[in-house]
Amino acid sequence: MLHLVAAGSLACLVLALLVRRLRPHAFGISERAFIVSVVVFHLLVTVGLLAGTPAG
Amino acid sequence: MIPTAVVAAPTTALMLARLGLLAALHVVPSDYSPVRHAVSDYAVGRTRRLAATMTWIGAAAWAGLAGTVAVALPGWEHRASATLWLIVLAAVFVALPHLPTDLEGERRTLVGTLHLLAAVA
Repeated sequence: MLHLVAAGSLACLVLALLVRRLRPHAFGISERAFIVSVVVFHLLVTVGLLAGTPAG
Repeated sequence: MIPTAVVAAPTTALMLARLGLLAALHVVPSDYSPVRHAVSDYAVGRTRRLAATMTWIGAAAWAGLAGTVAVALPGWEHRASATLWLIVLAAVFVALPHLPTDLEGERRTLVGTLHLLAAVA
């Protein structure tokens, strides 16, 4: 699920960078969704490694 | 052999701290909107110290994750490359506070362009 959020938000923020009319409406939120999804994913990786189970 | 918990526990704490600081940036008074402005914009203006702190905590988190991967996954075939790229990512995050972005509407500068390249990287 997180990978879908990350991929989708990345696509949206790139599109917003390329289409200037979209930037004020879409870039900020999609950038934040991307950052949060990436950090949460890696947080889950460290928690999983801490718990002693390999990350999926 | 370093126990995984020795590196994974502080890395977890750093990642949680980074998320908390990202949230704090959106709570403290600023001139920025989460819809209209990039996260990088918080590094310019009255939120610059909080943004720099968040970025450096992020650098430490990525370095910690590099250490965690190196210690916890000895049999993983991609351990070396993953560790290397996480170290590179940490280095980019160390540099970012020294490369403030150009705000929307401002003239593009060399530093702002370097920020964009670092952000993409």
